[in-house]
Amino acid sequence: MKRRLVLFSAQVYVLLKKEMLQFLRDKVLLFIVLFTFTANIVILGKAFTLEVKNVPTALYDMSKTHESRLLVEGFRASGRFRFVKEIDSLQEGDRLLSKGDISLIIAIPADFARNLRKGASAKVLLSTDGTDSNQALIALSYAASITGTFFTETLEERLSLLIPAMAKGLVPQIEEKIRVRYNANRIDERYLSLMEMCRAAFAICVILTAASIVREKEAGTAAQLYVTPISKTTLLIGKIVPVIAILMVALFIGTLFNIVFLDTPIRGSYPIFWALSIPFLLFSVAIGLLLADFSRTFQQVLLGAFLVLMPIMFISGSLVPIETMPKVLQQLTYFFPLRYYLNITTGVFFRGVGIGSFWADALIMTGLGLLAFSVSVWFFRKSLD
Amino acid sequence: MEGRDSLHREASQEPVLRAKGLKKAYGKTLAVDGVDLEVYPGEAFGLVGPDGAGKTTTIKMLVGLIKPDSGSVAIQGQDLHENLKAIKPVLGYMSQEFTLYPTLSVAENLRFFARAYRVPDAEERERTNDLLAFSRLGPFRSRYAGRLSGGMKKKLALSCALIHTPKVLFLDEPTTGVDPVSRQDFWLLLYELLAQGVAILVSTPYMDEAERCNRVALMHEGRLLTTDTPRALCNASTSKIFELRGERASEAFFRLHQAQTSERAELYGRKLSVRVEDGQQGLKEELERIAEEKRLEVTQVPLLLEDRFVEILEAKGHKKRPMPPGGLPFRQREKGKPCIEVEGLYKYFGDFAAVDGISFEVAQGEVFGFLGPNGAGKSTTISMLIGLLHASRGHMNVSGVDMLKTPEMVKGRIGYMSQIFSLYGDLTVMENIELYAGIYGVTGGMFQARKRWVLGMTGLERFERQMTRSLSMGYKQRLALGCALMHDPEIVFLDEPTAGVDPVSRREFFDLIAAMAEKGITVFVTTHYMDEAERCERIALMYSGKIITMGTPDTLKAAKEVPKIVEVHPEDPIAAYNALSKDGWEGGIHLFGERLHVSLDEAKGRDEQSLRRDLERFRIRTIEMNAAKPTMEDVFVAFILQYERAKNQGSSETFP
Repeated sequence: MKRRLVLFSAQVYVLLKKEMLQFLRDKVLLFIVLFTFTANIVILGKAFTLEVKNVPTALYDMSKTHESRLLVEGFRASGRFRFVKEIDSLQEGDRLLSKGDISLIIAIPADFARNLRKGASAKVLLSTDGTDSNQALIALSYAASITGTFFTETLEERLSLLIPAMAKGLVPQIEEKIRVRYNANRIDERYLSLMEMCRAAFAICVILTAASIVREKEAGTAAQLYVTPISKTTLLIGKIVPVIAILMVALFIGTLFNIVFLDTPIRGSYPIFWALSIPFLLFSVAIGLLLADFSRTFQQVLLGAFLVLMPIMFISGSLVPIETMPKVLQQLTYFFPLRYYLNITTGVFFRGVGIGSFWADALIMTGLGLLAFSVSVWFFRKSLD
Repeated sequence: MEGRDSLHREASQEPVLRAKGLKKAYGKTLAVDGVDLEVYPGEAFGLVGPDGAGKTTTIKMLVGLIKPDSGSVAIQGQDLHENLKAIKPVLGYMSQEFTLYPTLSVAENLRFFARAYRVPDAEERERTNDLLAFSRLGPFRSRYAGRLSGGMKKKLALSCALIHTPKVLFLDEPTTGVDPVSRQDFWLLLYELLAQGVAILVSTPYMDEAERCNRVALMHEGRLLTTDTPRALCNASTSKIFELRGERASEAFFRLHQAQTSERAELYGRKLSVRVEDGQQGLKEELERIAEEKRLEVTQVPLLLEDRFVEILEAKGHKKRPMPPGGLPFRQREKGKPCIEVEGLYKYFGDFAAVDGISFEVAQGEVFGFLGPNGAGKSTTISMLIGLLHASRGHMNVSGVDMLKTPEMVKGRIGYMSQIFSLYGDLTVMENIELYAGIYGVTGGMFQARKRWVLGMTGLERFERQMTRSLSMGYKQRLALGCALMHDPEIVFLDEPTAGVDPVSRREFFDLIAAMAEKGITVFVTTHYMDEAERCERIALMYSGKIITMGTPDTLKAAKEVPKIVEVHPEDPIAAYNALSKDGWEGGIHLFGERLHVSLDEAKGRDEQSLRRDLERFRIRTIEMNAAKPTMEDVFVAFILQYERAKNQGSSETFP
């Protein structure tokens, strides 16, 4: 028994040492992992935002009145719109729109001021490029709120002329008090970068595991290893522990970058997040092992990873809110730990809640991780059949 | 100059190909370092050397695929790189990789190349029929190229290169891994071209194949060491080879080893071959003393091309390293009891029987050789024996372990070295040794002793921290063997251990094999090199999944199936070849430089008398004529042909 333990620890030691040396000497792989958890996260955070600013806009003001200028001033003051050009016909606007020089045309008809004074309906044309429908919708909603404000202000002004003293109380108003919790300033980049870190941990973990096995198949060293008396379990420990260790370090570095460059808060317990990363990574390792079983070359691993990773990421809720997906897909997300992991991550970083509020997620995720891992170990063969 | 065939000088004073000072470097490595060569019409020129010698780079420069860093190539007197477009049509080239389209049929592949070279329709039809007849691919004309055997693919690739008639034909290792029958067919095709005056430049790692060429250049580390006819090269040697035959040949080998004089001794089973330099009287006398003591029979045998290559390398300082003193740090095992027993073993991949019912036994301490072309099932068999593949059915007992029931049990008792280098290139020499020691649980004093032995045996004492990938082939192979032996296994399986390694390193490797066998370790080895097969005590010839014959090299050579061979040295070999091979001796004649090897076949009425009669009939004047010893290749060819005949008869009986 003692002899076996000595042999086992000697085997595990040399295997771990070998894997770490190989990883550290593979400059390309090292660079990819470091890049993904540092520059990648920061670039994404700085460049990618759901807010709409500086929409290039063309103005077609046929009215050219005090009222129309007031409305335009409203647009200008919001900071959302950047007036690129004043145009003299709608045709010219359409041309600019299709060229991509502008994203929005604001056309104010000649009878704008007249209708306004008459109390008739004054029309404004907003014509937008719908290619990026999300951006277009957001821009239009800004525009709508600006015209709305303009309407209220005009109404107030007109009423005050009529009954100066009572104007304020006559216009009924609904004031929305919106509080966005946990991300008070609604800075999307923090959320996006954190989600990116989780997705990267998943993808890199799967690929590193599969690559470390398949590359040995390609080089022929796998056969050499499989004819030694080393047991399947020892062999897999030697493969898996380094991958998980590498990713734990990578997650730590990624977190640091999130904090330093994007001011991401940690309101909960970081150790809990870190510890709960292990069952999540275990699941990822299992996917990697299964992928390696079905691949003979590194190229096949990459293609396979693309096929497996993309759908899991799409339905995890990190790209599209789970609630907006079809029912079937929503149900499917329960089988992939990424969903729970993302919930835990936002819990720890933004909501500042403790284990008490996501213990169920942690439990299910650990269960799924262990299950997938057992399946993949069972599938693994120390032979070339 | 003396060696070149007089005939060719008469036919053409001018070489059709002339290369001067060719150099090519890849980064810091000089792949080709100043190659000069000339090839004449109607001549087979052999470029011989191990992997990495620069053969392929040289050929690619000669056909204009790679631009040399310096030097020039002239074809028919014209500079190749200046007139590439005009010259290309007179060149034929067959690269090492398969250039065929696997999803086109045999005929479609030929047509593709005919179109590419703009061969007129009528000529194309005629040529295609000739080529198909020659290569014996006629019955397969509508089969996909991807579904042909390795040998057939090579023949088809050659046919494609020949669809237009080239003036110079370049063949880059055309017969590596091909079965001996296809190899012979292949050379028969080449002889026809030689007879038409085509110049052929062929590269090969095999010395025995090189002997078929009119002239050979020995290539090593980017340089041509020497160029001449095979015979002239051998005659230039300053040594003689003595053979000591008998039961106790290996004892004599280890006696020489103890006396530190083993670097020129090669053990071939029950035969010891020693190269003695002229004037080395002391060694000669010692040999005679040992021979008397061990009751060995001493004879002088002809020196072979490989011996000459080794001699030249030795003069350049690349000497065979003596084994480290003190012997192997392994325990002595009792020899003789069976340690591999295989009966009725099958392995199917889908419907295809890769291993088709084989049975054999190997005794402890035996050096057992597995011979056969690529795809014969050698590697599949080894994979089953070491537990990497599961057998489909049969019985298999390795080192007392039932491999169909508990294959994992065997893994602590065997060592394995695969065809491709299978240590970690991104780990250092020492890290690899420590890794395998750790996996096998070799620790403490045992580890220290074996580590020392591996470093000494590989000659890597001062290179412990070197990355393994930067080592040369010979070092890599020995280090891989060292790691596979870390745990003192009962059996070692070596799958083509010396493929592409230079001859000196190969000889060092076989010294190690002899030393292992001496310790009682069983050595199971597969090889492509026919001469290496003779190093084994027993060999099995494997072909299309079956063992077609088995025995000691000497008994196989003496088998009744193997034809007698007569070596004829005519004044005009091409004329003699043309006359004989067209009238009565079809397929039985092979050109070896300026000599013919004629296989006798009693059943076809081809005996020595009829040969003499025909030589007279065609007025072929011969300088010399004597019986030649059959080579392992002749043995293999004979047994394959017999197997094919039996199979055909069998099938015609079942389906009359």
